[in-house]
Amino acid sequence: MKNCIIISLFILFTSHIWAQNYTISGYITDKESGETLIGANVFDESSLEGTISNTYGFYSLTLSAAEVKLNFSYIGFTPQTTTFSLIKDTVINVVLSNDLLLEEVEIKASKNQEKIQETTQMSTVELPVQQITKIPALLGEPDVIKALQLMPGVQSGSEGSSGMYVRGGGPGQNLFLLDGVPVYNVQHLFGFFSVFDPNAIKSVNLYKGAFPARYGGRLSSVVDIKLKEGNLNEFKGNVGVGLIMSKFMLEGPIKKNKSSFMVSARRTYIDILARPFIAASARRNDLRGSTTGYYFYDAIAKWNYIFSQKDKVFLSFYGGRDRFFATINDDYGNTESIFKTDSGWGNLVGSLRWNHQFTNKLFANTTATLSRFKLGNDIALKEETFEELTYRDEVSFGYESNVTDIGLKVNFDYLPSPSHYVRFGGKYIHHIFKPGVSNFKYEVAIDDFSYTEIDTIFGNNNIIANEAYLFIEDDWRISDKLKANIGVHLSSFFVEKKHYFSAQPRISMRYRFDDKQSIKASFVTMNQNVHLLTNTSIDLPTDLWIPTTANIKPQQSWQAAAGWSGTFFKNIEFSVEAYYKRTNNLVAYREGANTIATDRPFEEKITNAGKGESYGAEFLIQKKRGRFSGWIGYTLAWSWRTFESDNPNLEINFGERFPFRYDRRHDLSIVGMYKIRKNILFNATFIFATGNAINLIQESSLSLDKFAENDISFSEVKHYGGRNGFRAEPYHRLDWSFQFIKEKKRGERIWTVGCYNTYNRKNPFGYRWVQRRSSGRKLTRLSLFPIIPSFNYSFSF
Amino acid sequence: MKVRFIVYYLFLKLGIISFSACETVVDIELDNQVQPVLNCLLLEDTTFNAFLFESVLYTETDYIGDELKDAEIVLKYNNTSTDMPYISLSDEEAYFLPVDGIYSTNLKPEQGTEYTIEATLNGKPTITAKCTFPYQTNIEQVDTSIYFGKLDPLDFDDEAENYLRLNIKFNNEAGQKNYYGIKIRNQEGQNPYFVLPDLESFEEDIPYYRGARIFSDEFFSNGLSDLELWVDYYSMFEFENDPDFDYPNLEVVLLTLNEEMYNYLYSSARQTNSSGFLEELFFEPVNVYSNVNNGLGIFAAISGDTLVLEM
Repeated sequence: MKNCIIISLFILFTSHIWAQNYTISGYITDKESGETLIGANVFDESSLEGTISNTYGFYSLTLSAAEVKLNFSYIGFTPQTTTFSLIKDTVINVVLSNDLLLEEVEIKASKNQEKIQETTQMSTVELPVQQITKIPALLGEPDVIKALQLMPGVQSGSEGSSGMYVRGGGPGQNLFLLDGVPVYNVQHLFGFFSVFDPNAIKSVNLYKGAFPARYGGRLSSVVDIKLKEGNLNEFKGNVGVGLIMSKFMLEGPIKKNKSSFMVSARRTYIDILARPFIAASARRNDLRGSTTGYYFYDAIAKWNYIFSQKDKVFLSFYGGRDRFFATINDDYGNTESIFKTDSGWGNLVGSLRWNHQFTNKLFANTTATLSRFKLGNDIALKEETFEELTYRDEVSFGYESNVTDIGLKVNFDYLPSPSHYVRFGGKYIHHIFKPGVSNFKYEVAIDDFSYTEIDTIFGNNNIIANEAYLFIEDDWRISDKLKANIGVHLSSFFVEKKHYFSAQPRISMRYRFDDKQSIKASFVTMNQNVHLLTNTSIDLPTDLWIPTTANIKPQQSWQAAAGWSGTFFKNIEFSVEAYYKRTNNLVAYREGANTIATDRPFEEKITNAGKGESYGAEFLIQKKRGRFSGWIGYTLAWSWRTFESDNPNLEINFGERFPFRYDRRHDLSIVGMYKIRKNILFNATFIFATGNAINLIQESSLSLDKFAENDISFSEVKHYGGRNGFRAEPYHRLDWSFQFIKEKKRGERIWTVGCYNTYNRKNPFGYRWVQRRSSGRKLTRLSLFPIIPSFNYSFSF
Repeated sequence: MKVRFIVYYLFLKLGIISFSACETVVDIELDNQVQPVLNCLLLEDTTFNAFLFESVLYTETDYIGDELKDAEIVLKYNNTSTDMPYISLSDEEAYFLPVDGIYSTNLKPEQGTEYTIEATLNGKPTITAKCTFPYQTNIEQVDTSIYFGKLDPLDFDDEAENYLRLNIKFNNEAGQKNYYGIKIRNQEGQNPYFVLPDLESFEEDIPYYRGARIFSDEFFSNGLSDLELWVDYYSMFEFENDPDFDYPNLEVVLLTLNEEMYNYLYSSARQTNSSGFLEELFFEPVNVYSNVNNGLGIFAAISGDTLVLEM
């Protein structure tokens, strides 16, 4: 394997030496902001050769010496064409101007814009940020993950949740990258909002399959989010006020065309608005001084400095936290008690990136990364009894779990000829897992004499793991019609004196019939060394990230997909994809495990014996341009799990196959955006999904105990009809919003008026049995969000 | 426990605030139909008794399903078969039972024999279940000594005391999975409390069945194995003032369960442990094991060996 890679690299690096070729290279940037443009097209109309700019706006195109007519284009920007004789290596930095006028809805594409049938990549979603901000959202707050959930193959979790389930995968199998750094917890407020503020985002790419070799570490998807770099030319900003949160974003030059910054922040204010009501309620209930509240905030900052055209440095930071707190002061008789709880969880993510252009064909990106997720929970109860002596009891309980990654990544882009785009590199990550540690303290005092009765720490030990990977991939144009992306991802994971190695081949191919349609196919294998343990009933921040250990094997998967895509009626794109995915060594809590108790090591509560099988077909019709734009996405899918083992403790459902909780046969999303007038937009979404497969007791029977001699106890066995044996009612809702846009003297203001769940569908969040005295047990449906109107104001300057 | 309760309370309160306003009673037709339930436990020196009745849909107000009296039940073993007719019980016999009668035969199970029960009900697929009566595991030796300490080191109210320590030696048969139960009783019929210190960290998973604690052989090596018990025996007689008091003799019963019985008890215990409104939020659901085809219930067996300890 090693020799093959070296030989391949040698051939790729030297293949261009014998030809009379010259290289055109440079950066493509946005005229208005100075930001680099990702995925801009560079196309020579003479030789019909082309390339695209990389994640950092860099492009390189090697052509034979001749007259070239070079066309630069990017979606929503005015294309530029330049003609010249190519007689030496040439640097052309291109500045494209954005002609997507503020009042326009449609996204314009130039004639040469790469269409769906032309890319090698399949199973990919590229969602423009402008589109995300237009999609009607819960409480009027646009959300990146909820926008992605509207695409075929991507499913939401429970009502309102920003959990993501891709092609039958679990929420812990998605790799969220923020400027190249993995983010562990992507949810605020129990999952109703994601941690990504659209105001600060430059681009969002989702890979559901056909993963390029540069990505690894998760089985089901990669969400690659790039932050804005900061306007190099002028100060710009945005202020937004919504029903539950406010936010701002500011960007501008520190030194014009040399250095810039971007900062954004948002915070909810439910706790502040509710404070007077809670205080009044506390007074009424004789609990003076008691309070409770919840809030979350996040902040993003980015700075960049251009040392030269060949060297740029970027520093980015994300910090976010959710906090729930309560203090209850009570007194009864001659006793006073204070109960306090404080729970918090959040991410800290940072990266320092250096872009260096070695030659006009070789571009390097070196990034130092830090990612940390921390969950803490403190509870204390203090009671003082005043008699002849003062007695004081104080009990406190603390819980903490966290995961910290420190990494260094080096990636190279090498473009030896128009037929090859080679990427290679590697990363080292040092993981520190603290998967749940608790401390318990009990102090007793009588007047001034006090002593500690209990002071103990229990839970899991820290686990240190080291991970490294290498990758190489080539986007190879084999002929005018046939293109392939071939690569391999090699990963090593060292933990508890054990080494796990995996070689993950990746291949995807595209055959283009004509200008309008193509077929694509892919086969990829993936490996995952960190696992998310989730409760099957509700999403909680207590979901635990654990590593592969000496006893827990890495999760593995392979996925094959095939599809057809084409563009018809000028600008309507149509694609169909079928996929089949198998997963191994899935991790889950064992049957009967207590998911929040911390008194036992996590390895005793889980099983690693899971296998998964998912298959289905995805259909997408998308109109990107014109007064009306939008898409219809439909997924027909099956997803199964089997936990079979020689050890019955590790089996779920007695080793029998059962449907995954989010096994949804049908999933339909219709998204429409219509420009009513120059300054009024109407957006609507309709969603329909088959109900989740959940656990619900459906019948009972008398237990064996009941037939034992002289036993008067009543014990029953409850039957669920198998794991996830109950199918919840279908989920559907209609949301809409109007955006009223007005140019002001100093900027643009947008009023957004919208409605979530227009026809007040009581969608199931969960079910439970309720005992009624007269009529026996009744099944009740818990619904979270009825019809919810929303109003938002934002001002961009 | 108190702290865990507080955590539950908080989550509960959050949950109730979040969605109690949107709780609706729904009329949903459950896909499930009532199913026949067959329960039959084979015990040493006890005749075959099988109980057949229906399960109850969770929407029903009754908790006890109808008894199925019209079935034809046949017991098959060693290429022979015998009928198990339905026998009505007297009021006295049925006093503690939820049925009026049992399907029974005078046959007693033999160790190492595989038995199959077939029950035929009009118009329904034949209910079948199979199990093997396990060979008993003999108690080779029991050593007694005194253990001074706490039964539960995490119980801060508990004080160190003298407890009876039993080291029970038995042969853990190699080449197969073995399942055991241990039970202590004195000759006055009392069951003293005891713990299994080597299995204590797995306490949540140790099921009980009629005073016996059930465990698998995963904690023991093959061949001669040692099971340690700390028995709270002396405190049962702490009010005896006679310094020469003769403690009643103890019976140590080592049960051998077949795999079906262990799976059933293990999953039942976990289901009980995870039942309740809060538990259903924070515990993973448990399906109780059944080896009955075309129905529910359990057909299982327990053999045992008893040794009397003179105290």
